[in-house]
Amino acid sequence: MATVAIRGVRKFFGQLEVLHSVDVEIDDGEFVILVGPSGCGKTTLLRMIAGLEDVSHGEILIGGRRVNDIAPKARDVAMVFQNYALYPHMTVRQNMSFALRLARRNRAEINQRVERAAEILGLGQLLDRSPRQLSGGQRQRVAMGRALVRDPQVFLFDEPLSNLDAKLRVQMRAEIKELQQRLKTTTVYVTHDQIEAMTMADKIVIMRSGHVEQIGAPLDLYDYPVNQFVAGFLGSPAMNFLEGEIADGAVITADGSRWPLPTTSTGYPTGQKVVYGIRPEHLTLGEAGVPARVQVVEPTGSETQVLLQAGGTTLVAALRERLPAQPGAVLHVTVDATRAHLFDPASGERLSSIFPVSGHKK
Amino acid sequence: MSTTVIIPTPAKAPARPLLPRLLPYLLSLPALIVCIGILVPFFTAAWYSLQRYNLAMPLNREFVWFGQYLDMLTDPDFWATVRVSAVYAASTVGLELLLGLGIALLLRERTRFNNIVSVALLLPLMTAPAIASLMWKLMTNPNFGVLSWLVALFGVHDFRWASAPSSAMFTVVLVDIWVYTPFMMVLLLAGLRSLPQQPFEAARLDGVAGHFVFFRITLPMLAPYIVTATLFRMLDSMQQFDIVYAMTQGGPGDSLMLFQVRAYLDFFQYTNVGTSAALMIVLWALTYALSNVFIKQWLKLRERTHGAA
Repeated sequence: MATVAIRGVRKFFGQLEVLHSVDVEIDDGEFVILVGPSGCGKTTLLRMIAGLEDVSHGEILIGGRRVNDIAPKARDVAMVFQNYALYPHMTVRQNMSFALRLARRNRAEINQRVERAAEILGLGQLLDRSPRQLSGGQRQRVAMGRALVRDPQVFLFDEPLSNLDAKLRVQMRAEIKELQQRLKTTTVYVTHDQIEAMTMADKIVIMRSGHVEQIGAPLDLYDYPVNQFVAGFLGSPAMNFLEGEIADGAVITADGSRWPLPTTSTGYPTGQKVVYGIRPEHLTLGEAGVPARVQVVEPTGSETQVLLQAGGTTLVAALRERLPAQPGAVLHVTVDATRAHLFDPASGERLSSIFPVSGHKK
Repeated sequence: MSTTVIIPTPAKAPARPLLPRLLPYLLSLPALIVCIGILVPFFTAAWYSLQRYNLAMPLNREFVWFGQYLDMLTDPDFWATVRVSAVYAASTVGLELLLGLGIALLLRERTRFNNIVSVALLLPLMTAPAIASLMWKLMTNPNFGVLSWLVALFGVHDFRWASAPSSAMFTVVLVDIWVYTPFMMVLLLAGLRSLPQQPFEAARLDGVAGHFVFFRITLPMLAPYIVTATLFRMLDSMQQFDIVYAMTQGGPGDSLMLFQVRAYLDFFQYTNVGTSAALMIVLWALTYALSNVFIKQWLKLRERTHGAA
């Protein structure tokens, strides 16, 4: 158990700067997920924590100890790799016990730790198999088991679920989260999948092209994204964005339709160009509001997603009730103004927090 | 003005033109020719090996079944050939494997320098072995050879290289190593570079010591490549002819009478077709058996190491 601090960390590959002064503080026992599109630097950052990449500038502390110049093995971290990285010529038991055998722990202790990890992960029957006899999910469990037996200060996960099929991914997601809650080991987890980030993390770090965009609890990020990138990255289907201009108490889009200003702020300057953001689940269809032509109706069973032509663009609405409407029908869409956001069209920054009303958290 | 009349095609397809019907046979023709090209000499040799057949005494030609093979078993010259071939194959392949693996490990990182060096190291492989042997013959010439001069600097005077029975094997093995180590190196380098990186990174995090990584991770994962490279070199080395013949013609005395060299001399010097053919058939049987053993090993290893993703 340990805290992890990343302070002013930069990384260069030759001339190319792939991380621009990243700061992240991770509490003891916290489950932190680094998430972002490919090439955002999340895996590089994780590998720097592990010690597989050098730190170009800044410092990384594990448990308050500066580890920049400490070898990976001395950092007391365990990593689970995307491709499992099992030693192919060893059995499951040998794979899991390898690090301990090298450390010359006594046999009884090794056996006890391996058995315990195997029990936690449900690998008891498979200990004498070799990796090639296992399915993808089982191999992933062995890789986790190998990390588990070492009882490290920090767990590092590098996209551990991306090679698994969708159903197994959902199951393993829950298992990893449950495991982490039980063990209370500080965990840093990298993924490009925002659903994994939302469902598993205590704290999400959203990254884009080497910068940290926002850090916070999943629902805080979901409800109060600092910019349009974060707003669009989290949530599926993604947030709707409409370009318009503030005029007499509303945002007017190019086609002339009126969208109510977010009620979380006041004092909006008239005439300012903005991007209006509203999540699919905060749209309702009814008799009043902005006219919208139904393009496609996608029933998922639990909810219905509707593609609408409105405000000069295509909007997605996610409805709990089932919609009898046919494509081509014209309905009216209203928004929940308490959940709408305004973004600066140039910088993408969220504007509504600039004009805050009292009482809402950042 | 004309109208196009569409004639309905008859239900029965017309006879196909000649070419499409012949095409499958034409396409397999090269394989057939190669097959004939391999099998005809092979069976001819097998046939000759069952006969007492000396070109100098054509009237004595006689069918003796396995008589020549049985004669071999009691012929000390034959056993000398087996021993010399085994020593030659084992020492060349063993040393080339060690050297090739060592060099491959040094060149493992894909840097520009390493790539240039690995290409430069391939040059000996591109020289014809017979030419390489002549070059080494010049270098080991007692009067003006650069290597003779070099060993003289170390106080070894009058070292006779390939012309002395005691050092002949050493010298030809040296030439073989010079020519074929790059072959071993390039196969193992390709293997090393294709190994997945993650187990090595996992080992770094697990704090696995360097020699442990090599013996417990690198070598087992590289084993299929090692077996493949060793198989190729082993077969080649057992059938070695050009280096030894160019350097010593199998001498001095009988000290380097490898299978092929003896068979060659039997035929072209002593015109003894029968014994020459019998020797070649024995060599074939040995290489065939050996390659089977190797391929079985290779399949087993490949299954073991390539199972995990």
